[in-house]
Amino acid sequence: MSRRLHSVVALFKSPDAIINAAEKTVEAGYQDFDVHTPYPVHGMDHAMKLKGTKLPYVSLVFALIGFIVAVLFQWYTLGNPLGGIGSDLLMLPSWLERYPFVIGGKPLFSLPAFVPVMFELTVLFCALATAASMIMFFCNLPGNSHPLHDTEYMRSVSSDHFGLCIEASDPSFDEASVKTFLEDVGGAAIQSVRQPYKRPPSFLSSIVFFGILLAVIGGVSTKFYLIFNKVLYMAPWTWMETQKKLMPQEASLLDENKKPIFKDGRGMQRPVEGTVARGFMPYQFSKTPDQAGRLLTNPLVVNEANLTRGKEMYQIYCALCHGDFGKGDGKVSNREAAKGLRPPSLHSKKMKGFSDGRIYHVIVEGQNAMPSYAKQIKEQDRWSIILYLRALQRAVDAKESDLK
Amino acid sequence: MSNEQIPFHEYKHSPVASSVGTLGLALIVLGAACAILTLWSDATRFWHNYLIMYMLMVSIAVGSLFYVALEYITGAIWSTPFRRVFECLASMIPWVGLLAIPILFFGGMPKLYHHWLPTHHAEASAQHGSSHGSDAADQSKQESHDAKQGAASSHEKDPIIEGKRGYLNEGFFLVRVILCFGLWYLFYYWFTRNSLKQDETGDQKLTGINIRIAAIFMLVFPVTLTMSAVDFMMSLEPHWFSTMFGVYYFAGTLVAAISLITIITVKLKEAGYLHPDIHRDSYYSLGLLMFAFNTFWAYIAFSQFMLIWYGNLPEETIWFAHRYGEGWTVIAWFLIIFHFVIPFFALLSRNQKTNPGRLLFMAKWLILAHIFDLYFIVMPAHRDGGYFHWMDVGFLLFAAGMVMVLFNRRAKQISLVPWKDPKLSRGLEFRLHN
Repeated sequence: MSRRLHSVVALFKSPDAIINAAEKTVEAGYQDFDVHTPYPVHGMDHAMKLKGTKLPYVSLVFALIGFIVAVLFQWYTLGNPLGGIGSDLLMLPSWLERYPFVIGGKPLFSLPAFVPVMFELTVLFCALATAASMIMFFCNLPGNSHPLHDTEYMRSVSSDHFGLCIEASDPSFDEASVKTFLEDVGGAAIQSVRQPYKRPPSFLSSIVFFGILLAVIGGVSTKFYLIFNKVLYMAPWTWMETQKKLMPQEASLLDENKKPIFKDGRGMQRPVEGTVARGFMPYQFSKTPDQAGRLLTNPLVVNEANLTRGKEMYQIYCALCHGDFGKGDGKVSNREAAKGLRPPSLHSKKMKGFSDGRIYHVIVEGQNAMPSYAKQIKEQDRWSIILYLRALQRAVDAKESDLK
Repeated sequence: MSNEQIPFHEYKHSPVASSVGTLGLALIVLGAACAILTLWSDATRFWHNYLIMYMLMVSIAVGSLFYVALEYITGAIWSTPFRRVFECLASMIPWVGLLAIPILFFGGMPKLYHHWLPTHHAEASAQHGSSHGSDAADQSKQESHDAKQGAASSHEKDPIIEGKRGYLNEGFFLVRVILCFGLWYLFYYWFTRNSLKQDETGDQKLTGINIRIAAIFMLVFPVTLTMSAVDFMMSLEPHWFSTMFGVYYFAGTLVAAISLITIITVKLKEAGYLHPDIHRDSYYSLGLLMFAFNTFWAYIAFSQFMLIWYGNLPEETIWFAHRYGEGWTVIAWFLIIFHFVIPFFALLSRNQKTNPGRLLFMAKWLILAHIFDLYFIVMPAHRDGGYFHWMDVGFLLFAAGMVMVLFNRRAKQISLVPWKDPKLSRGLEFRLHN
């Protein structure tokens, strides 16, 4: 009986009795006491004169902290807090790097876009801090034992009795007077509860404990490593990936006699001589522009569809240099870098003298500084551009009969 | 009254009942006089103010009906002792329906919805209303203004409005208004008939029937309320659209209705006209709903704003462009602070929700906030109107008077305590857990 006294406990039969007892205990001036009931009893907090929990204040403070953190975080990373000075100039460490990206044409500091993050961080900080502080400060965890555990008293109050417990830490605590007081308010089975005897851990049990701890940590880490680095990257079926096939830049497959299928032993073969890619007819006049001018004729008829297509293609490919109206004043030619490379007007006498085929040749082969456009513009579109070009030339130098 | 053993004041014969009725009538007369004055100075403003008042009354009446249904469908017990307050407020529904008639037939439509009404109609009504000289002049000014803005005869050729013509036409508009009020009145009638019958018979099955009716009402309510919001307020600027607009109005509706319910409940309870055993802890739930729905309003209002702001499409941003800049900037920011920030912190703690004085204060605050929200929705559609005018107050006095008179009228007819409701005794025992 040398163990320290924890409390004196008493059992009551009904919720009314326990509420009455709690009220009397408060009146008698006891402060450190608690009530244990098998289910929540209405009005108990009022009878015990409990003050409201302080937990909401923790929630409020951390909610505000979360809010402020979100504002500052976004203001620093996305906004423009340093007045446009780059972090490299300020020699900031890499983890203080900012990301002042313009997104959707919005200003760097645009509050509406920040609000969802502000809201989320407010809720996150509030919830985590509330849960953590409730566990750590209000429920006294990680402590996992209490002197009332494993007592007859706790067994009773968790099934069919209502218990009152006056703790020895109370300033006006005196074992004998508390016992008479509890008898006066109608308590039964009055007992003194002592602090449990705590055995110091033996050397062997410490070794076993840390051994198990290490094994658990190691096992969990290994398992997570395997799951996240191996299992998750395993493809369920790899037949297509691993099947026999020819790959570029690799040796040819072998046939039944372990000989390469292709004579030169390569996996990749040249196309058969004379092969023509789809949509690319070979151009036979590349060295003979005059012949092209004489022999090629525009296969397209003048109609709205062809002219519209020609206009579209002209404005994509030609207008950048030759200008929207073919006057040789396109955007590129105005650049400093293109000085001296001013393309000729398409309304010159020489150009008007060119036949359709001759212009076609220029588009395909290029001329002077102009590169070949054969790869960009399809055959049909080249002819439609020429149609549109003729319309442009006519528009600049219109005949009187056109006005009618 | 069968239970004479419980002492409490009867509202029916109390001096308060008659004084509330008289005060209400006085407010109606004063408000109407004040409002009618505006008809001569600025008829368009008159009709916009009328619309604000009308939507406020819809908010309160239909919102209260929603809370009746909410109590049944969720099996809430805390609100049972004062459910009659909800029912009395919901009794305004047919009268609010009458308020729609001036908009529909007596000159409201061409003033409010001239953007989507066909031109020939606007002209016809201009001639119809030519007894007011300034009225017709206004109309012709409006038309020339429109003609200047777009291509000639913009009314008929506007492709956006033509595309909406299947929904936005006068006939269908009228049908929808009648449908909404018909459904609302039907459900109000069902709920209160069963509720009052229970006072006499004590039949518990009636609660079960009402729960089923509430389940159907919960499907009807969002559709009808969205229709009202879209028809009366979104179509003020018919090019603009927002799929969240119905929810936006719904959220405001719930805030306004629960605030007025709180005011009336607390006042009646403190004066002793409700069940004497109602504990103050029941106030907590009223405050909680105010807080919850007010936060919901802010969430919806911000969601609507952010999506439009981020998308940055001209036909969507125009609505906010009309409500930001040109002096409206201050009003927009004020709305955020007035409707959300201050009430949020003011209603956060439990003490605020159980203290009747503070609860009353916040309830009045939130009603004003909802009126201000409606003002923010409706008034910028009147582009030449400016921000505030002393005449804007007239219809609010009218609305206050109307609520007093109609509530008073109904409260005198029925018992303010549902004596034989099976949930009543549990509702009276409602206490907060700690």
